[in-house]
Amino acid sequence: MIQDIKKEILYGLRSYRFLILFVGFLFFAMLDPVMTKFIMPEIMKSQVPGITQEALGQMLGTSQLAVMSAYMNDIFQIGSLIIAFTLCRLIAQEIRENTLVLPICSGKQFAGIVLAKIIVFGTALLLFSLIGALINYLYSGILFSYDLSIISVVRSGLLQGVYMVFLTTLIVMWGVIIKKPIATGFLTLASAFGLYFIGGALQIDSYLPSGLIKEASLFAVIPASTLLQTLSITVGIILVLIAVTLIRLKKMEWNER
Amino acid sequence: MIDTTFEITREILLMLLPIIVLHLGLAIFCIVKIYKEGVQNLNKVTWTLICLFVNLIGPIIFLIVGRRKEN
Amino acid sequence: MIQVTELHKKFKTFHALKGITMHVKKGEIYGFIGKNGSGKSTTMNILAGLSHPSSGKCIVGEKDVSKIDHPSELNIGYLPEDPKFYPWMSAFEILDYLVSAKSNRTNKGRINEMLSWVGLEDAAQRHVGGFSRGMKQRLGIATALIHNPEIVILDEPSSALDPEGRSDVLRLITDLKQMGKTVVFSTHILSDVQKVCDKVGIIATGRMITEKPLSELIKENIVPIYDIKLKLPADTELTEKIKELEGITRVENINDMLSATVTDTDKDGVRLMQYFTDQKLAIRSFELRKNNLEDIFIQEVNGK
Repeated sequence: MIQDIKKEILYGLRSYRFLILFVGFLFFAMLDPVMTKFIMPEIMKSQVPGITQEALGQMLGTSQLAVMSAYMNDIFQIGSLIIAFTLCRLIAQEIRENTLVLPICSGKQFAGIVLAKIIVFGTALLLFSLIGALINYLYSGILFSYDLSIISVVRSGLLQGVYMVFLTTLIVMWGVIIKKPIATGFLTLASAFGLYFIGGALQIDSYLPSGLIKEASLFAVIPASTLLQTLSITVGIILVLIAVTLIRLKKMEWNER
Repeated sequence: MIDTTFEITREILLMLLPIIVLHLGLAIFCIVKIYKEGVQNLNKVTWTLICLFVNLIGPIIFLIVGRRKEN
Repeated sequence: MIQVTELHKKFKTFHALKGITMHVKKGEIYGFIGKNGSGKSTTMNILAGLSHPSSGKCIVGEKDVSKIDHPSELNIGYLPEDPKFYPWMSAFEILDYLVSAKSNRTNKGRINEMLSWVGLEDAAQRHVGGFSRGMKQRLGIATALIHNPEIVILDEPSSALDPEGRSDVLRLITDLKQMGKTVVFSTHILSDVQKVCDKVGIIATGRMITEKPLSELIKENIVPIYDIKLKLPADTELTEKIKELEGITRVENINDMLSATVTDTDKDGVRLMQYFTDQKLAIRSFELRKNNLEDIFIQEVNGK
């Protein structure tokens, strides 16, 4: 298991997966506040002549809360996209290109292989979410004002991180089922966004992992009472996805051409 | 009068500086990779341009789909 | 060590194996011969526990392959036809990663021993992405042997290699024989089989046609024909005269090569030689035709 984790870390470093993901988070964390503060108003002014400063403020949101909520939203939408396509090869490629054949023949257990992937990339994404949120807090604080408490920012970063762990598990499960990297990326996004919209439409977000994203973007001083419920359901779903992955792996025929 | 030019203040520049530095660092890193290890899907010149001029996402796209498979 | 009876494998639209029966004894080098697409790899995959048989029994070591939960329970070494490694890992790291599956400690000594056995000690720290096909194949053999298994299954270990790479692989197989391992390897290169195998199994379109010790197979297929080349081309008169000799059943003269079919290879051979000496005919060459494995293979595949 330790060796499996070591291998995944090596993969993350040498294939630059960690770098790509980290830059993805940084990109939005740094650029979002700058865009809202300087560039968007200029664009709006040039598009809508004579717009008042108040109207601008209402449209774009000039508080730290508005900016950080926008950041959370961007990470959920575009960040998920980057993550899905950066990690879509995580296991699908291994099955497709038969790189798992030798490890399995030499006695590697499926659980170890799968868990190592989820632990390594889940932890990385959790960390990046947290760092991203803090950098975004710093940037938006300088440009606007420090309205939010650091505790709620840390909590939101972590909640987003847990959602990212869920996303990683989703990628691994689809990878094992579909065995095609690009299709894995699309299916992951379809199911992640699908759950988000279903949650929104039926008002059952607190029972779904997408509730974590909603809660994270509120930056509430006191978290919603349903947060614990959402968290435990998410963990439950993660465990179910891992179980499906393992059952599927166990039934798989290897080394097909 | 419609003002179509952005006024670039010192403040904006200062805030954009880390992003620019990050982007340039990443772009240079990728360009070194392009000429040392080779590319796939597109040619070297196109990848160089993408890495240089597409802000941050360019180098990311190169690292995901443009690198030669071997390493 | 390996007992396979009436093995069948059906894919969705394709009946790949239609009854394979094979027996491999301990310490044997078993050559598994067949054309591309005849079912060699499918059989090897099942032997390695990676694929499940549709019907039939397949015992590897002491275990039934259809009754295992994980391929590694068979305790065999397996080299797939096209071994795939993580290109971003070095040879040493790969072996380190694989050896850890059964022991928690890094076994540096064992890894280095394996690397020098397959001749990759100088490339140990290089990323596998830059390895040649032959180097990958040798690294594959090292990975198959990393846990020191009793049975080693090699799928086409030499087929895609250049002559030098092939002789490297054959040397490794010979080493395995000396170590007392049981080796099953498949190939379509028959000269490789002739060099190292004790026993051969010939497979065609999913069926096992022949399974015999190599020496027996060759002996059975000896054709009692002498090919004789004389200094002066033989004319019809000479041909007719030879035909009248005792024991000679047939004589052909093709491209100045006399081919005499005899009844008893030893006695008739002497008689033929005697005749030429008596007639003072200078002989350029005189030899008993040996059927090579290629001929036998073609005969077996077409004959049944």
